[in-house]
Amino acid sequence: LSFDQLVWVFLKASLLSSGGLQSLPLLREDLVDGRGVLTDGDFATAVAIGRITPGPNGLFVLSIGYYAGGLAGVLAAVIGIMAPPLLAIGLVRAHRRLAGRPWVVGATRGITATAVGLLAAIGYAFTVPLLGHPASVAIVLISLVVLIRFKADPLPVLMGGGLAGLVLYALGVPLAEGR
Amino acid sequence: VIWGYRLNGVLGALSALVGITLPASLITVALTLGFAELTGNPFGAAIVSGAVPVTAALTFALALEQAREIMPWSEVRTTVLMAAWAVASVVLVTALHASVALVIVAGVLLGAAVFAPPREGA
Repeated sequence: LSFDQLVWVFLKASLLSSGGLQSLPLLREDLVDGRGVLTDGDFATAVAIGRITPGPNGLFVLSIGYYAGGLAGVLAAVIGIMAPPLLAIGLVRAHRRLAGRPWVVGATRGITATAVGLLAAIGYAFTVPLLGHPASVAIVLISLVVLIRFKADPLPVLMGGGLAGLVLYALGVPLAEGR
Repeated sequence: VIWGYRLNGVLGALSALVGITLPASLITVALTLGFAELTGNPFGAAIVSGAVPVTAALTFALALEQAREIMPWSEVRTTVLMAAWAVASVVLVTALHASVALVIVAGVLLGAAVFAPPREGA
């Protein structure tokens, strides 16, 4: 994948999403499904790093950039995510004028409902490669309960997962490979 | 970034963008390099293979959390329709391999047409 192709991939994902993890499904479509540049394991690792790091969640794209093209990939990701917020300035005025219109509220709801569905689809894509390994599936289910039921922060849960990985490795229980 | 613009125009927007992203970006890149190093030895690989399933759970949890936040619970019909569309978009992308960009555009159009709040007093 050439540098300008990578910039385009990140720019497209950033333009069509409104921050956080919303660009994830678009990036995954281009880099995993489309060209096979990355694996779902790379993606999951990048998301984990993005959540460990302080600052906006959207920065996981830098990890994805690194996996896709080394430091040049990081640069491509930076360009891709920096451009749309600057364009957004023009939209602020338009939005101020239009914010109350029912169809604008409806369209915004349409975007957010789609984002929920696409996030769930990513969760599904991350889970599929784990299905052959009961211990990995157990970690998914246990963390899901901890996150939802007890509203735990992502970082300690991620660390718990890492610790579980070590313990299971010591016990000889097979887990799906991270990458 | 938008706040930066409101406070200090284009320059404010730019400095907000750099201020927010630069330090965290450097840490992200450093951690990514560290992770690549980590997966090279069996213990590091074990940690990563334990953390990766958590990421799947995080993604599901985030989807649920967002769903709870965005639903206009007082408008029952719209809430049901939005939930149905969210489920439909999962099926479209995973089972039917529809283009993600197309699904997003369809969501916007569908939303403008069907998810709008009722007019006040109606």
